[in-house]
Amino acid sequence: MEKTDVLVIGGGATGTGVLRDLALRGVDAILAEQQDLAYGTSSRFHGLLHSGARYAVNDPESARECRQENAILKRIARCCVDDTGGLFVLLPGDDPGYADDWFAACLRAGIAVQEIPAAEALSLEPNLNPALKRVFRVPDASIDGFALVWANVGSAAGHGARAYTYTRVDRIIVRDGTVSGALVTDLRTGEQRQIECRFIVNAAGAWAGQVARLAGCELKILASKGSLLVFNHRVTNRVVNRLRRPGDGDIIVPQDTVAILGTTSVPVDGPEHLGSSRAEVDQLLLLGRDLVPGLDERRVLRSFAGVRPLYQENGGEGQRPQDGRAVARQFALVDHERQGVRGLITVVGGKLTTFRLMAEQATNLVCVLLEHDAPCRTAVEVLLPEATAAQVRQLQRYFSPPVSQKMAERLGRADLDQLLGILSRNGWKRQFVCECEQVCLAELEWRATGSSWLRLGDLRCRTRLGMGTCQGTICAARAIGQLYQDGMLDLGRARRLLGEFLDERWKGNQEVLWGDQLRERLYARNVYLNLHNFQKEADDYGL
Amino acid sequence: MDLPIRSELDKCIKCGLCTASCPVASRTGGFAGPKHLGPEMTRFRLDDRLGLEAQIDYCCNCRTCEQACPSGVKISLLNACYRHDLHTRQGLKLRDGILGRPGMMARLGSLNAGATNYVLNNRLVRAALDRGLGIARERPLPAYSRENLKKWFQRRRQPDSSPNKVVYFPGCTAEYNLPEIGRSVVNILERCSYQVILPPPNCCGLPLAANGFLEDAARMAGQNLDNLLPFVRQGYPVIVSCPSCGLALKSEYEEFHNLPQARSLAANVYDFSEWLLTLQQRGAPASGFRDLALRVAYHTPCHLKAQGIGQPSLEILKKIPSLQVIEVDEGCCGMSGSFGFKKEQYRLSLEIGARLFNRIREIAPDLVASDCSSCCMQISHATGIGAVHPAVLIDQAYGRVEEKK
Amino acid sequence: MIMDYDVIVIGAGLSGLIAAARASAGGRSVLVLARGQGVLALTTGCIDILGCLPGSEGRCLTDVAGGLQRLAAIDPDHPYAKIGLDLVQESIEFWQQVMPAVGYPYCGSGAVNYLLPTALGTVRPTALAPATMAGGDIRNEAGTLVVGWLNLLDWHPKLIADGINDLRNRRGLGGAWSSVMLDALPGAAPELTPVMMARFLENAQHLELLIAGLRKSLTPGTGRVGLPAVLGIDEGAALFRQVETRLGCPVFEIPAGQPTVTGLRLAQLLIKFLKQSGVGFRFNVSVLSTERRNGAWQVTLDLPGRAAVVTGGALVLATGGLIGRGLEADRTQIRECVAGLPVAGRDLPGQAREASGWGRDPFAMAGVVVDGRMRPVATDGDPEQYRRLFVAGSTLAGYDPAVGKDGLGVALATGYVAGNAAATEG
Repeated sequence: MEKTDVLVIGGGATGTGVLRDLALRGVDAILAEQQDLAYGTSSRFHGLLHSGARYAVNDPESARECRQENAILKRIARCCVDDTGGLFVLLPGDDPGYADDWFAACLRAGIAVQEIPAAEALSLEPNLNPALKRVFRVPDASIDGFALVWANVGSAAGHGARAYTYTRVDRIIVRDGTVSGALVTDLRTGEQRQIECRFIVNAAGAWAGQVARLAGCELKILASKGSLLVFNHRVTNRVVNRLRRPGDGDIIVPQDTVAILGTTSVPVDGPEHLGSSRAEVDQLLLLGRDLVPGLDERRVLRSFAGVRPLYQENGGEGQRPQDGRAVARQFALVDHERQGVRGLITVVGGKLTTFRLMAEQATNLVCVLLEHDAPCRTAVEVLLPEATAAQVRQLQRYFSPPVSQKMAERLGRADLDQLLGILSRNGWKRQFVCECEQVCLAELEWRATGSSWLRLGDLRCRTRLGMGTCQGTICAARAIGQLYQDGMLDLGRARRLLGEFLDERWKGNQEVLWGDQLRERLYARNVYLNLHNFQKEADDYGL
Repeated sequence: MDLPIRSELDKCIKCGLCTASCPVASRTGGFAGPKHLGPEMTRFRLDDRLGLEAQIDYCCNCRTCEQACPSGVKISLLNACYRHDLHTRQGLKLRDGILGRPGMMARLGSLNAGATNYVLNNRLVRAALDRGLGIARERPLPAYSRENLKKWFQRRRQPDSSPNKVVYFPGCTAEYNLPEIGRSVVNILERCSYQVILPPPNCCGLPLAANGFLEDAARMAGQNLDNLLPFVRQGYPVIVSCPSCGLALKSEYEEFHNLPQARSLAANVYDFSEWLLTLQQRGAPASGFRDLALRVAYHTPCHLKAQGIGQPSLEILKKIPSLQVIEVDEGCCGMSGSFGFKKEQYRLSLEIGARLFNRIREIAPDLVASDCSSCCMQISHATGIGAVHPAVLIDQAYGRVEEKK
Repeated sequence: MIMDYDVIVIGAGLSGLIAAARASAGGRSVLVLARGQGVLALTTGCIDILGCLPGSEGRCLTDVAGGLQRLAAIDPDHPYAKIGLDLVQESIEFWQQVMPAVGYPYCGSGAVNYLLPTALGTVRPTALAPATMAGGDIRNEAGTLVVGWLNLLDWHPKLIADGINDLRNRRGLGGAWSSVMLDALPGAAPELTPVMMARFLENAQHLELLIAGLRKSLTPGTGRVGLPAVLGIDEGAALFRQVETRLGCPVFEIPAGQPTVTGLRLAQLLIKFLKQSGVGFRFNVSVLSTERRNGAWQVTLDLPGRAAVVTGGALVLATGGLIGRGLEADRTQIRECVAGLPVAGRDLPGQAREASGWGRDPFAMAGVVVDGRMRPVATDGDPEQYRRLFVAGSTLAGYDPAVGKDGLGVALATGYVAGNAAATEG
């Protein structure tokens, strides 16, 4: 039986942040995630690394936290942060008085805000609404949720922590009112096993209520769905916010080669992933074109939705706001001892920007209870060492400078060494498996052999395979073909993975089928259904 | 340029037809092709932190990709903008600056054509150009004529007799290098009862745009608009005999440089053969053709294809009695204006045209006819068979004997 | 009124080319107008007459003649049902006459399907296959060696061999397929698309290298060799014959990558043939509008620089579907771009609809509705405005080639009927 001090449940930013924090403090820990890492909200948001400015008026405390964490992450997580900077844009018709209040609030929160002339803003971002009234610069940035979560786990693993994906927690074992372990199932093999532990940190995000119930505890989580649109190209090079009370369709975040327009807010019943409705898509486009005229004419690759888990303060009895360890109200740290279960704490709510702070406070609590005295080091230790200039030069023997640069940023120093090793052994593996995002066979091979994965989509998240213009049309068959040729799949699995991958890609553009994205879909069908006669279900072809 | 680039790249569905049709990409491993260079890398280039790559040097600007694309992506526009960025950010090559300015070089070269031609044919000079500038030493350079078209035109000035007037824009080749093309065009137009007006000699600007000098090209375009629009306003058509000049005047001035009034010029620009065929269809003196007992292979230049006007020269040549004309139809010749002059592309340029050359050798014609003088240069260089502009043959069929100089 | 041409065909995909071929064979002067190259090169290049019946859940049809009868009975909106099966048969016969003249013969009677392997190791039914592909039927008992090269993209021989063996086993035939991966041919680029490889092999010395490599890979058990479709483009089937003869062993091609070499080959050879037969072509032109005036069709072209007009007695619209942009969809509507014909399924983009991608797709089924002679029906206005206008190919409503495996078959049949009508009807 596997033993550890702390079992962390949930492989999002918070859970992996806790795992890393524990590991850096020398506490033995295991993480269990029912799907792949970053399956939930950590990958289903606009990708904004908040400067705090969006919260300055309504939630000054959050704003200050964001400001601090923004600075920390830009320092320690350069591998996943694209420091684009951000703009707040006051449009005609929006309340000019709010702009003044907001500016003052930013200053109060210590956010480095600076007004710039409209002409300067338009030369920085020529596609912005030329009628804009005022523009302010803030230190917003873009952050890659997948990469962040993987870097957390990589760093934690370097300090002895273990992370299991596709491992569902079936039951939390409580003996004499104290947590003693959990029963988990490996979803790949179906095998159930027990992990013995002294503490469990529930960091399951939108699923936190369900996890708490496994130990018999009540935890009220409200779910709110936010829909977003992915555009085919970087519409702007900076984060662009509409300067008014935060609402729908008021932010554009550049993410790698694409741009994301967010967000809506719709109450939903549960955490399971929901699509966006056509009405939400139309609403976002209508609002987005106020910021960037003609935005509704640009090609939308897909829509997606994430669930914000909102903790209901009065819903759970175990909360101990009076004990001083409770965190600020923007996120909640719940010790379930009040509900009769010792050794189970839940950390929930908050923003991705503040994940590290949440993890720090949760880990502080665990360490107090463990009577383990070690300071938090997550704010000072670099998350993932960056690629060196020498490595980038080596990459340029195979790829053009921009492609090399992207690859180096995506992989970091250690993984890049592996990639270069594969390339030096098999030069032909420089071939691109994904042309839109320029992912080569060597990168696919390294991710497929160097990490644990179940679905082709898991490799997509680690490489960007299939996330560009063609949404899998070219790369899906190439990836499956190569993995098969390399002996990593059997025939049945190859066919299943391909069908699953296309399904997932196609579901995402179900609500954006018009113009060129509709043509792309029909072209993809021509390739898979017609040219390849690939049948997802009836794979015996009636023979 | 920002918005058009974005809407162009959004049209691409990544089908790869452009790359499959690209005469360069299908024959070299160094070039991932128009899809990669155009819509694919433009997405990367929109991220202003990223460095630039140099594959653009493989694009010969033949525009075959645009004719293949089922999505209507203007790949040449994406590429021109990218070349421009590359020059702005990384500095430019002197060689490309020279190749982009055939008019300026020609004005210099024609000052003393004999001396220039002698010098340019000197092996030591060619070796120096090869090493110093990267202009392939094996590539014959166009000779400069002792009497350029303008001088000839002024020398033989005709009275202002005809009420029908046309403007002839000869471009650099027919002005400086091969004025016999220009003389033939003028003769034929006059035979069709038009008075020909020659505007001041000027380059159309396409070689500049093709080599990434968008601002210079726009300036050149502006000069040409100034020169030509007054005539257009009087209702005179503008005739070009060079397909690249035609493409520049008809489409690049608007698409690349977004110049006001480019459209009103474009609407009145005609390729020489396009215009003559229209005249003939309206009953102009096609009947005047004499026998021309020649076997001629006709090659359609890429930039003529890009104009969407079909093959008017071929149709006219077919009407000349005793002239046996065979269409070659084997795609790009590989020269593509300045591309084939570049040292690093010389061999590739000949490989691209290999099928075309083989087919011409099979046909074994007396002459090759092609509207583009750079295609003619390439074909002659590769096959040893003379190549001329169709206007020269048509002029002969109309009975003119080249005057002795 | 003097007309420039008897028949103007808009579109140079298979339906347009067949319409032009038919009208030209009927003695008419024909002009083909084309914007791009056409999406024919994005198909396998096989004439799929009918591969799957609606609702058959992916079962491969082998009896095409019987399948067509059944289809006509259960799916009256399908273009075949409208044309009538006799004319479908006539179009097949026309194809069988034309292709030998093109110099690129096709095999098959049209009455039954081949079951040909795909680059993904699946099987695909098709009725008429080019000679280079027809030898690949998976039911053949010969020991089959699928050959690949490390530097070739979109080609995974092991996946193909194992996939076909799996299907053969299900049928009780036993696995007879194997694969071999060879090093890159000397002189070839390190990353080679099938189209690039085809261009590479058009050089005689390179082809020798290929043949030498294949020879070494043959084993006593090799009864035939499966290659990616890379055996040249412009030369038709000549390189294929050369390889087969020199190897002394049957060879067949499997289309790989996009666009496919077999599709490109067909497109280029057909166009060349038609040019030589006197059909006029204007490439790189968009059509702005069409108008029937004084008993003729005036087609206004959007040339670089200006508009120009050509006139013709009859008009064949073979402009393609949504992929080829004969139809265009914005956020609320699908429209037919050239003549503004009414579109069945017009309002799909703005409607709630199921489009998982896998089944018959409402967007693919959308298009122009015609009668049995390819004339648009259900027009809102004056029927006279569509006189001597015929529609063919993917612009038509009522079929989804990704599911029915009937794409080029419908293009052939409707192009034939449209070309026939344009050439003959007064």
